[in-house]
Amino acid sequence: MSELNTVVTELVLGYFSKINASVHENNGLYDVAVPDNFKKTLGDDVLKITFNPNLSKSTDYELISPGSSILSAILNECIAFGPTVIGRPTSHNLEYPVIRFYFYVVFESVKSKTKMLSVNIDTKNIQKINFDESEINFQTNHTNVRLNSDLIDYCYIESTDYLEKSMKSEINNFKNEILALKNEELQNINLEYQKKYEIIENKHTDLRSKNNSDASLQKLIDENESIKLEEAFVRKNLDHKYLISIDFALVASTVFV
Amino acid sequence: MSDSVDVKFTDRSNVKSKLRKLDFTDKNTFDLTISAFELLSEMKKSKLSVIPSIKSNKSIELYDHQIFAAMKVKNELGGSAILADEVGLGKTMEAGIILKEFLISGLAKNILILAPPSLVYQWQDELESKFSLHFTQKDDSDYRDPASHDLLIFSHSSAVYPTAANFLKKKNWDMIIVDEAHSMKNSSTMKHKLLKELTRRFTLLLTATPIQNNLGELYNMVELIKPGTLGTFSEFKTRYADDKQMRTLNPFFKDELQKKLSKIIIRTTRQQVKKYIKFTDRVAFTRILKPTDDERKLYDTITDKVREHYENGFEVLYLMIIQRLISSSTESTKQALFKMKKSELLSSEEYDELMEIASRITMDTKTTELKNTIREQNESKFLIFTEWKATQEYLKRVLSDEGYSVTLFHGELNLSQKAESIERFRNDAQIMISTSAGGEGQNFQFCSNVVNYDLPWNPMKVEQRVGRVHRIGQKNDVKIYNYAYEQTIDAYILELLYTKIKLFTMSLGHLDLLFEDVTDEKTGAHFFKEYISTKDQNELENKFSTVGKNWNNRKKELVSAVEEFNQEVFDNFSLSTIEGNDV
Repeated sequence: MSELNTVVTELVLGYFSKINASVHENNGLYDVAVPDNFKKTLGDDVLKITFNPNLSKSTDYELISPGSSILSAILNECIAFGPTVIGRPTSHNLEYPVIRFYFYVVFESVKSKTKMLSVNIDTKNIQKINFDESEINFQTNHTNVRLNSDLIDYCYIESTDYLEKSMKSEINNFKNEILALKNEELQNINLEYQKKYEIIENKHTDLRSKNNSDASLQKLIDENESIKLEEAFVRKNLDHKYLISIDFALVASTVFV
Repeated sequence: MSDSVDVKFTDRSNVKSKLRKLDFTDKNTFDLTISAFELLSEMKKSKLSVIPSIKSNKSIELYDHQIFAAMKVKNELGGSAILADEVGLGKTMEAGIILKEFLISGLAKNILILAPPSLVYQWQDELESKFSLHFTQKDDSDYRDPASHDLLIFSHSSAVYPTAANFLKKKNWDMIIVDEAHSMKNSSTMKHKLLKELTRRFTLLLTATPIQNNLGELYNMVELIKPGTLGTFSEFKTRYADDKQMRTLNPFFKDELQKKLSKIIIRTTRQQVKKYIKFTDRVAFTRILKPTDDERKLYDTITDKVREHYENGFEVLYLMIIQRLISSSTESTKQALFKMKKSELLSSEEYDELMEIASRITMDTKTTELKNTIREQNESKFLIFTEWKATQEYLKRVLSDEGYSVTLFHGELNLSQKAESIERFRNDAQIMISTSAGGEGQNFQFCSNVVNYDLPWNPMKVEQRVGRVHRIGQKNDVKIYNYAYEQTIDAYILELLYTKIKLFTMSLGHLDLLFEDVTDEKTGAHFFKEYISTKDQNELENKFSTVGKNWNNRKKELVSAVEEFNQEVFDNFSLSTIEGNDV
């Protein structure tokens, strides 16, 4: 089983466990009874699935792997949770709570890429902090946690400031890559329209030498105007096409106490 | 450049709000979210396993935007999408990549393709030749019923027949692909209803014009892919339409709509890919020729006979075939005479007299013109189309006698004979003579001269002929040669209709809009009736001119309106991240 398949299997079975679906496995074939309130999301009340492509080919069990509509639905559900958890380092005590913000960063333009990043912010000094997190005990009890709204906002702003600074060079590299692609296309456009205007110019010279009618001249003027309009449209679209958008999406957080 | 970078910090899942409320969750849920994002990142980069094998087929030109679209459908859109590339960018190829990928990865085992009747063979041949996949269609000898085949191509119109529809509904399809899917845009049609009722996991809708008349059509198409994405119809109308007829998009919500559509629609424009695809033009040459006296007499005498029987109420379709046969060649005219004698439309004496004239014609004037054209183009390859086998055989004889190397292509050849003929044309033969039926589904980008030796009366058929050579991968401008004799029905159709509204150079998408409901019988019968019922030449010219004007007006209104509408909705629709991505 590939690494990707393992991640898919764990995610899907983890999701079924979260929604209290009843899962019965028999040699890689899974029968899943979906709770009523998740039927719409998953498309059916009983799912017959497998994570093994060979089993899928020889049975009527639906393969769950990238491309599967069930996997797509589960992914959409999971990324919308926006969870926050509490963790306590077991080897030492933290003097003040630390908030870890998780960001899913999406670089988008004519090419795109994504990455997951996280930043820990110390709530006392409102600055990035590293600490030994080898042993963390996660819990749901939060009776001792004190976090006010302003503090959360300050910490969040600090995390985004840090990210923007630390990723400056990566953002610049991405910008330069896109700029190079844009310049290449711009040169092609310049050449293309230069040729088109040359053709018009030649036709014009030809018309004048033959003393052709006003109608022919008007036709040429119209053609020229239409090329100008087309060129303006192409150039306007070009700017839009190469816009870069970078989204630092906050997707989860952990409070270390 | 720095101004054009839009850096956003978003919190769509309300994480901060949960922190403020100390609304903590369990570690498993947290792990699920983190795994989901990591998986998304991995999947975005994940390549398609089918690409190396497709690339190894040297006869296939695969483009980055096609691979990218397929990757996006698989890795990001859950296997269902509207593939809405502009005309001529290879939507069929994209669908082919996706379906092959889904088949070999085990995500799909049975696939149904619904296509317009005229494209059924094309789909079948392309899937066979490019993807080594045998899809069955109902004219195949091994066809049983729609539910008995795992890989099936059915025409839209056949699928809605109750018997076929019931069979199709019985099966749980893994994937359904609908070509020219704008024909499903109207939710009250049988086609749309049928598609809604068919059980399937994945749906691909292929159309260059997702919107033709109003935004409601877009809503209906999206409902076929992911119901509920755009809310209820009434919610959608209130939010996104700016007028009652839904013909204008509310500009305030354009970005929002595009964002939603980006999870369903993939659209690449010609502008985006012209960096690596050379789009060539079509240039039409129409020759209206003066026939010899014998040719004139033969045509006029038979036409008068046809007119006489038409006025007496003889079957129109039969008379149409006679008229079409005599428009093609003297050899096909002989066939027409035989048919007329057999059905007692001609007496024996009339038959003998006309056959004698026909036998005096050793070389058609059109053929002499064709030979000149071929000679002028030096050694260029020519794809010559005719509707009739008799003309095909005659042209083969004449051109072979001239020393040209000729290969034939027609519907009676089996798949291997077809492949052999294509290979011959590609490698040795300068000329291929093909019937329209034989030409469907085949691609001849290595040839750039198309001859309509006789003229199909349905414009979509002409497009299918030209479309065999004028498609992605064609390196030269395509020259289209059309021949007709003056004062014949073909001359009127050619001059007054096709040339006037530049049908030969219109794109398939536009033709499709104009002649959506036009069938062979409809167009043929219309032209034929106008022609045969009018004896006065001026009156006839006026009639054809009026038809031409009406088509022209329809073209202006419909085509421009649809183009503008699609542009308005999809303007700067930033979906196609093509360049620079490692596909």
